[in-house]
Order: sequence, then structure tokens, then C-alpha cells
Amino acid sequence: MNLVERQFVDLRKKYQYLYKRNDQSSTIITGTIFFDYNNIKDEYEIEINVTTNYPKTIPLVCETKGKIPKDWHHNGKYFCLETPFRVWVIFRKQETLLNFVDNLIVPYLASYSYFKNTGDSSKEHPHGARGVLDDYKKCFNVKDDLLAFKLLRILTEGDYRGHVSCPCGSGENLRKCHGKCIHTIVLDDRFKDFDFMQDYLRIGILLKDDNIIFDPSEYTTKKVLNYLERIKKNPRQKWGY
Amino acid sequence: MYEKAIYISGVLNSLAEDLDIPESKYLEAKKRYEAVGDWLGKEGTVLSRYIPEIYPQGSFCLGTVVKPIDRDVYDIDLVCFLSELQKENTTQAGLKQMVGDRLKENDRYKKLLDKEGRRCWTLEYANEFHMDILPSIADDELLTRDVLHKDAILITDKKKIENGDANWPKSNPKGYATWFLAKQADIFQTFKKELAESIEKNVEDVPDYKVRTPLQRAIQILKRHRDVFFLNNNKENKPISIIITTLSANLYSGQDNVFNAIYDILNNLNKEMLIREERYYIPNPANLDENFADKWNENPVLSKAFFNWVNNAKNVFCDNVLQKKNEMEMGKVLNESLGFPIDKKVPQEIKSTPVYIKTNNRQNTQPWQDK
Repeated sequence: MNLVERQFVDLRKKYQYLYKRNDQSSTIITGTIFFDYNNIKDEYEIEINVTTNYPKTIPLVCETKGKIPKDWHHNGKYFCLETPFRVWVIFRKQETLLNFVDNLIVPYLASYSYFKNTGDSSKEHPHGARGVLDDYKKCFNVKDDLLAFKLLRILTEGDYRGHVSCPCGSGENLRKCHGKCIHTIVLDDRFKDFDFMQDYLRIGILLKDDNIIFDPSEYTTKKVLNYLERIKKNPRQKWGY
Repeated sequence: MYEKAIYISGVLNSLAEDLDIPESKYLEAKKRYEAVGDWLGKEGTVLSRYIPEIYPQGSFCLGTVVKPIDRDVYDIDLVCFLSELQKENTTQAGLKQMVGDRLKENDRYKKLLDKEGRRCWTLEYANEFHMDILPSIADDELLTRDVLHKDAILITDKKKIENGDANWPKSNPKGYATWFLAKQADIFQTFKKELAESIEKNVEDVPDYKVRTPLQRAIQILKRHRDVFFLNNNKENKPISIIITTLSANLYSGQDNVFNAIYDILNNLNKEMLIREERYYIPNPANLDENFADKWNENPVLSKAFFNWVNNAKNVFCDNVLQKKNEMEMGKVLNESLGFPIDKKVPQEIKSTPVYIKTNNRQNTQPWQDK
């Protein structure tokens, strides 16, 4: 039994109406999910696409019965379960299909049921860069957009140094100030492969458009230029999770 | 998918019911073997001193009977247990003969008796039953007397007798049944209660033999699929029922419909779990020294035949049937692979209420969208 097969056995212990089939390059897990999540009871028909390089690549999920409109938190036909960073955080904590369904798919589906029942969309992230930025602010525990962006820059550049002064302007060392919020991420191996750069760029563009950043060149490092060059050469590279 | 699974379960239940022994036959068989028991234990006879007891074993006792595919008779396996006879006071040959002699004293049974089997005496009730009677005494060398082991028995073996081997073969059908029934104890009670409600009776008034759990149904379907798969090829190597039953019960985890039970049994079954120290090992749960897969180790053709069959069953039940678009096509696949006419597909009504799986919000996630 390979990893996916083993994890599927565990998944089915809880979700009895999920079945699997093999496609050319991936395993498709498909079926009905019945959930009772924070008192929201509902059911959906879903399809999870698990590629051969799972768990390196996080699976994609879509719905098969069209209960959720495609303009509600979708990227093409696939669900936008959370911000890329948050999907990464949750999935890398425990790289199992069960964790993926329990803590990403079910909450997503429940969010839609909640929205459909109440019309309240306040429990969803704003679309695009704003949602991503809000999530980092929550994660870094800061209120200021630009400060969050500056902290993200440290993660993106991978040049955390505790003794430099904190970007918040307190005059304190980073280590003793806002560094605390990002140091755990710096130390955590699981974030080694996370693409902070795409978030950094999309937030940078947002802040420029919002006139919070006046001079983009201040934030355009060598790494940024290299990245942009790579994207240009390989334009079909999708921005996934 | 949920609707599909429920529909498939309905078809499978209805097919399994066709394969099962009908209630009238079940009661008839019971009457017959109780009469045999009365005859064997009749007061004043030699045998009666040892207080013989007749009880069913195997599929008849487990509720997993499948009508043979090529004959119209049911196999009923019985144990004839002489509780008051000790190993020291008899021999395998003596025990076998004593039971045979007493059967032959009855004109009717004498006529029904087939030629002596390796371990059993067989009564052939033409077009009805094929009753194997297994002479046995208590195993007095038990190390544990827990509920799984206290009823272990010693049986006879004609080959050993002929070879002058005085070692008694061991068996433990009651222990096995106890183990099996424990595997489905919870779902059995649920189904029994539901059945009682549906026929407006008290649970106590519903006899156990009327209840069939998804595990029992799954085993019937798998056995039937095996019979069809090996019908015209490789017949002599077809996997024995006790292996299918043991693995199924081991892999069953309370699924409430037969399709999900079969799906998980087949899907979770893998070669590695059957190998211990480079040999195939499928122990009798009621006697770990007994390896149901012993013959596989002498003859690799057997294990090959088993895994060929599993793969075919997986193709049918874990893949093919789910890919079908409509009920007619699903019915066709199931009927065909189980040897029924393809249009025979009157699914049973399945009472099913999906369980909404409780998950607590720990992550506080929010959906997002790129642009």
C-alpha cells in the first residue's frame, strides 16, 4: 500500500461515502461528505485530486454537483479553501488526507452553507491580496498593513537577523520586538518550501495601489527581480495554494 | 455517490437474499439435525453414555450460507460432540466408528449415509441438504479457558488413522463463531432492533437467524463472486470460505451498508498483512496455531488464485460499478459478476440515514479567492 492508499483507509473510517479511482497521473477521491460543523449540517458531492507527488503538492478540490456557484471563492473549477499561506500552515501541520478534509474542506463547505443560509459574508476573507494581507496581520499579530508587509519581506528574503532594528520603528531589536511573531516561522522547516514571494508581490502591488507604498523600488530586491524573470520565462506557472 | 452506494447496497442485499438459505429450509435443516441429535443421544444406547450434542458450525451457524452455484442443495456442517468421552478412553478410529455405527442403526440414516469422509460422516438428503457430521471430543490440553477457547475440540482424521498417527487434529468451531459474532455485535443489535420495528415485534421475539448484518451480506456476496469467478476455470484452486470469512470479519469495521462493507474489505486487503516471517499466515482467531493459509505455503498456485480473485472483485466493486452512470448499468454489472441474469435487479429498500460527521472548529478558517 502506498501513502495515499494508507491515508485513504483512515479517511474512509470517518467519511464513509468517499471512494477513490486512479486517473493517469493522480488519484481521484470522490463522493459525498456529510458534516455537522459548528452546528451547520449539510452535504456536498466533492472530488479531491491527489497528484503523484503528494504530499509535496497539496491536493485540489472541486464540487461535482454545482451546489456552490463558481464565483464563490473558486480558482477556476477548484475551491479556494483558504489563503495559500493558511492552507500551507494547516496542511503541513499534519500531511494527511483526513486532516485536509477535516480542517480545510469541511470548514470551506460549512462557510458556504452559512453564507447561503444567512447571506453573511463577514466570515470570509476579502478576495485577492487584501485577504492574504489580513491573514498575515492575524498571523503576525499586527494591525498595520505596511508593518505586516515589512515582516513578510523578511520571510521572503529569508534574511532574519535578530539584532537589526525592528521595522515597526520602536528602536528595539527585531528579536525583542515583532521578530517574535515571525521567528517561529523562520525556524520551522515546514515553511522552507513555501512560496512567500507570490504573496509578497501581490501585497506589494496592493499597497502601491492603495498609496501606502510610494516607491516600489525600495522593496524590489534582487530576489524579486529574479523571481519576476522566472515567471516571465514560464508564464503558465499557476499560482496555486 | 451516497445515492449510488445506497442503490448498490439495495441490489446486493436482494441478491444475497437469493443466495441465502430460505427460512423454511433453515427451519427444516434445524429439525433434521435435531432429529439426528436425538437419535445419537437416545437413552440406553452406547453413545448416550457420552452425552452427545449436535450443533451447527460454519456458514450455517454464522449466517453466511451461499447456495452452491452448480447444485440445488445446501451444505450444513454439524459437530457431534461427545462431552463425556475422554481422549484416554478412545481413539480417533474408535470415536469415528462409534458415531457411524449409531447412525447406521437407523434405517433411514443408513440409506442417506455417503461413503465415509476424511473427518465427517455425511448424510445426503437428495435435493435438499448435504449434512456433514463431525465426530469430536473435548480438547483437554487447553492452556486458556476464556470464551474463545473453552469449547475447543479434538476431531478425527482418516488419513492419520491409516498412517497410525495418534495425534488428534484440533478444531474450535464454537470459539470461531463467538469471535465472528463479536465482530458484528453492535451492528447486529442495531439491525435486529430495526427489523423488530419494521415487523412491529419486540426485539426478544425476533430470532437471530432472521437478522443479516452488512458483514454477513458482504461475505455472502464475496463468496458468490468467488464461485462465479472460479466456475469454469481453476476451480480446484478457489479460495476456501473460511479464509474469505476470516479476512472479511477482520477488516469489517461497522459499516452500515453492504456496499461500504465490501468496499472497505477489498480496499484494505493487501498482501503484506497476510505474510508473517515470509510465510502466508491467516490464523484461526480461536486457535492461533491453526493457519488457514497453510496450503498456500506448500502450493503458490493457491495464493496466486486468491489474489487474482481479489483483484477481479476489486475491479468490480471498488471501481467498475461506481463508474456506471445509471441504475440500470450498475445493476447489470452486479448481476453479471454474481452470475445472475443481467436484468434481475430488484433492489431492496434500504433504510439509511447518513451520519453528519461532527467536526469541531479548531482552525477558524475562512475561504479566500485570488482576485
